[in-house]
Amino acid sequence: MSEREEEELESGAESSSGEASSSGEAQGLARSHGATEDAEEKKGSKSEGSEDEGERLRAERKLYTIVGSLLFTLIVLMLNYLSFRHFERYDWTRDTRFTLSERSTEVLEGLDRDVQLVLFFSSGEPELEDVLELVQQYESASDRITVRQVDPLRQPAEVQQLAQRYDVDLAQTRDGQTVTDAAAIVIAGDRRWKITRDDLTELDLSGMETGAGPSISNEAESTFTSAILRVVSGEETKLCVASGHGEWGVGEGERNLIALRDELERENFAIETFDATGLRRLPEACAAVLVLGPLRPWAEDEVKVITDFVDEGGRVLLALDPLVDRRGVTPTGFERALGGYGVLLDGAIFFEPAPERMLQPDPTSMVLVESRPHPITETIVAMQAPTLVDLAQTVRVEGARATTLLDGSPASFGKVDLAALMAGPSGELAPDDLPGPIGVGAAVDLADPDAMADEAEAAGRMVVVGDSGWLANESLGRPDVANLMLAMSTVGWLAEREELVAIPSRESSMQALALTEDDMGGIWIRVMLLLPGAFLLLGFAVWWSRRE
Amino acid sequence: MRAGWAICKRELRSFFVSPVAYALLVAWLLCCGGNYGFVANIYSSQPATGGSDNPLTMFFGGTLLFFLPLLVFIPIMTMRLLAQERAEGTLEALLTSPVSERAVVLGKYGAALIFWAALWAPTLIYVWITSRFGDVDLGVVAASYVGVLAVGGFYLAIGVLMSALAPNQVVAATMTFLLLVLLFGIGIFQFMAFDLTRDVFSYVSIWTHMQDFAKGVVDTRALVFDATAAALMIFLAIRTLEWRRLTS
Repeated sequence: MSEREEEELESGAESSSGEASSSGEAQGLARSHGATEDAEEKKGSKSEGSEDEGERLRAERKLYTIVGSLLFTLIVLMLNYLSFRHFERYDWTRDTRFTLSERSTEVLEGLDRDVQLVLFFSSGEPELEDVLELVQQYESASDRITVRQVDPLRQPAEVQQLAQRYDVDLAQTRDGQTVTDAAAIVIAGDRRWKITRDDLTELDLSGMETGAGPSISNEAESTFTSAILRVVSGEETKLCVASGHGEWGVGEGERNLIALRDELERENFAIETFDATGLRRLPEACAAVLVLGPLRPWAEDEVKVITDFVDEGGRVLLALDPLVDRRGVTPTGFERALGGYGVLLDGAIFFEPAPERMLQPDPTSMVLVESRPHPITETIVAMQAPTLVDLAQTVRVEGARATTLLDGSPASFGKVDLAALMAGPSGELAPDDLPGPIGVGAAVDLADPDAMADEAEAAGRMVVVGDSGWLANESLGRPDVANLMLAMSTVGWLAEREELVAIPSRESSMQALALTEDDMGGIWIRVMLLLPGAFLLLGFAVWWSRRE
Repeated sequence: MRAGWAICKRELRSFFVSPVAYALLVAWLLCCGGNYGFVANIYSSQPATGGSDNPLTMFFGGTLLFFLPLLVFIPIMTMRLLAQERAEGTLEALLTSPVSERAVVLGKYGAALIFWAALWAPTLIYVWITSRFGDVDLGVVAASYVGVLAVGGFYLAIGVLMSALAPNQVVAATMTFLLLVLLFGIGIFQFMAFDLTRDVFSYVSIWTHMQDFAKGVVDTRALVFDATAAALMIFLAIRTLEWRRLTS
């Protein structure tokens, strides 16, 4: 199209009324002798050859039009079929709420068998909306994952059938609706794992105190990834938990770590308790040995079994509370042996005077400590999440094999003079005390830094924490601290199950709009009066100017 | 392409100098304002469940109040594009001019798309209002507007095709409305179907498309469906005009 034609086209519009049609444009263009291809084509079809030739050409063009339309439709259908089968879902949310973590992606990429996720969700469960979205991300990320959603309200027969097949408990509500005890089942071959609603989302009311309002913690990713791991990994990983010196138990009992046990079992760990009194040898095939808060000291021979295990490539978690009595801190029995690995237990109580680290007015109990960079604490450091410890003893490191895992603020120190401490907490550093910042946890890796990867994997590893209260059920259940993540990451690192390095939950506020009645009135005025009114005035002005 | 662009500019100019465009804009903003006020009222009086349960996500496709205006306004916007030319007898003159059918259809479709964007531009004020009383995720807002353009592009293309097929504006608007209602209805079937059937209905459902976009998720399935379906409608509209020229 020439410039002149375009000008004619536009001037036609300006001179016409508001409702002008394109006739002026068409007639103007018909008068002109534009040299476009279209014009040539049209002219050609009208002027060339005889009438028969024209008819033939016309018939051919009709055929092309029909065939072309059919072909184009076919191409569109094929493209849509491909798009239906192979798709991507891009997450544009600020906090990448629907993007799977690196850990989950690794797990999905490593899948060597098909996994089915069966969801027992009803459409009217708004708190599960984000969970459904996340599940679609799993399906999108791996061809091995298939998702099937059955609605207990609308598909009771199907739910019943699946419940029977997969041992899901069913119940009827008063109004006759079918409900299931499981929110989802993860299935791989003949292995399956049940997920409850509580595993997926959790209501967090801790923000009520700070005025931030309640929030919902979405644990779905961690839950589904763990469940997938559980059903695809063949053998369970065995953890051996020591007893006999008053340690925490993993079964029912007064001093138990049921929350930790449940979490570990969900991650396909098998837990075996063994009696460590007079210990000569450890149970067979322990991926890691856990010594959790002994109340009485270990004997030298017993400790030697543990250290020999580590020297031979074994993995050990020592959660050693200070054994406090009237005379002071009694040694746990591990002090000398640990010194050989560069971990120093000095018999000092961890003292944290920084007010922001204290959960109660006592600088020794219920205090928050910070994680230091290490493969175990990677996610926790990134989240800047604290760990809660309760009456811990200090753990210092020396040498290259040991690394500080947890430590206090610059003001923290180790209180050696217990008599002064018992007289009343004092923030003053006595001459015998250990200056801070001081640690309460350390990791030991016996691998030679220059060793090949498989040699490094065969080397012993040990984690020492000067407290066992951080593993207590109450501490693991707190959403405001990283204790659970630290526990799972520690066991994962020790047992070479580093895919378990915890996946953080996703918090979302429940307070969508903070509006008063007056605010609401203002909104109605803006959106129903001011905004449409502005365009009404503009339209009136245009009409008025055109009229004149 | 220059011919198409010239037709597009001409269409827009003729539209914006008429009071019809402003009447349409005012009516549109009243519908959107009602929807937004309704949503804001809900979220001011009850807590959300967090995450995707927020006012802007609900505004962009969470209620019927979003979809019903679409079904009404798009036929009104597109009915005049080609059907008016035909009813007034100017289409034949246009087709005998050295402007290709492709330029005519693309020009008019482009103008309709730009006007569609203009209809949505004032709704950015709702984003600003929401940000004053709560949290706004700009990524989610961007995805929502991408969705609005994608779905609008598809529906407008249907209107253009119907306008090319229909003998006059009223018939064009009625055909477009009925087809949009049918498509919307097919999408609703996803809530009654299961497994693969549900997935297929969900694939063509603008309800699903908008719910994803409004959550901040850009799904290639929705983009491919909307873009290819729009391309097919436009292609068929061009072929309809070509056919008309050949048979006239």
